[in-house]
Amino acid sequence: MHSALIMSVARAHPHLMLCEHCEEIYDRTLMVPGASYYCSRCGSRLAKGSILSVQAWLAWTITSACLFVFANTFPVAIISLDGLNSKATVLQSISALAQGPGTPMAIAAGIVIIGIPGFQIALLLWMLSFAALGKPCPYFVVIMRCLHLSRPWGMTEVFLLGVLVAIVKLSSYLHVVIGAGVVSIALLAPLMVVITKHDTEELWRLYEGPA
Amino acid sequence: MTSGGKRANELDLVACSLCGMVCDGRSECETHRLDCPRCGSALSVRKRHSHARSAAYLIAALVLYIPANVYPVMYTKMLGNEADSTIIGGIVEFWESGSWDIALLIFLASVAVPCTKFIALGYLLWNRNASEHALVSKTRLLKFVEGIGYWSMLDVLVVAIVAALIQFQALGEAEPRLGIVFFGSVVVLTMLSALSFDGRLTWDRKVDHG
Repeated sequence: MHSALIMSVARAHPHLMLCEHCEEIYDRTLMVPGASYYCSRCGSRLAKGSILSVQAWLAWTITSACLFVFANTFPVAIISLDGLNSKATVLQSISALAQGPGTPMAIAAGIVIIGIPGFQIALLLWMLSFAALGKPCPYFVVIMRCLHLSRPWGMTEVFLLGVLVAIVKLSSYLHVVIGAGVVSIALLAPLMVVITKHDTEELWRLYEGPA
Repeated sequence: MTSGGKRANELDLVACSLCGMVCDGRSECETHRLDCPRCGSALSVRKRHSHARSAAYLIAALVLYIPANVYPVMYTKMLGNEADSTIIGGIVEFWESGSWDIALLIFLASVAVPCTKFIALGYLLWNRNASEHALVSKTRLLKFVEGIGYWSMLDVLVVAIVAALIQFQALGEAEPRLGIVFFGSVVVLTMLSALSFDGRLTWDRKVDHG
């Protein structure tokens, strides 16, 4: 017998939740929405609490999308030497790096600072636009899985610090001025944390339908 | 708020790893494929081979941390000065030029954070103390390790940004060197190690040993 053929669906208990660290059982119906709770056994945070409504979440995602575009198109640094100015944007810098022997570095940096945040913003825009209208989006589960898997790999905060350190490092040799791109990254970094780490329970309930 | 302070294994419950739905059939899903009624993901009680995978990633990271520190991470040629700098060399350079704050920052991200992760994950993998107090602190330690892990990427990004910005300048040259590839792999491997570590296994010891 092929045991893989015997597939079945488990019975669900939508009113319960488990502590993700020690698996203590909690009753959701006794929790006030929006409040945060801590596990009485291991002290871990249970529910993050929906700090934003779906509409507000979508609004912040749109803001992040704009800032993401600015962060990549405005120069992060203006380097001047002997009266010659050169402005460098993130995208230009990374693609310039990719031409030379630094190709693997350019790919890795490109993935964590442009690829993943851009991907997360695009998925959230798609999903939350539908959610704001009260509908689950097409490919809902696939998108949730992508967001879940990509969550640890977005590094906008680290990128912000990296740009600042790089500018300090170069300023001992060259005259370097911080560009508008850095301001966009500084605003984007905390927003990325808010929109990618938000509690998803409300979206799952929407997906489940009113049943 | 609690339902009598019971754990999921006592009531044969399992939570979906994607959507968090609590379902029946904890004992069953070990042998048959059981799908989550909400999102259709296959249910499983624990991450598969959690400790073995976590330990493998950790050991690989530890081995690669040696060449990451021995090989230079960046080659710079600015104003006629040619230099191959290692991670430690870069920190010393900042320190000597008077930027002790930046030196400290890079030291924290490139030396303190990876070493803390090696020690913390090693402790979580091989320490068998199952007292209630130890388990609570281990849970905190795991969350801390997951939280600080990606800041080690700082040095990799700094090298990439410096090299990238300097591409436009005729008077300077900067190229990433082999060491940074090793260091980047160390960061990714320690992150994978922390992600594969299933903190719930730590609590299982408590149940097993009474």
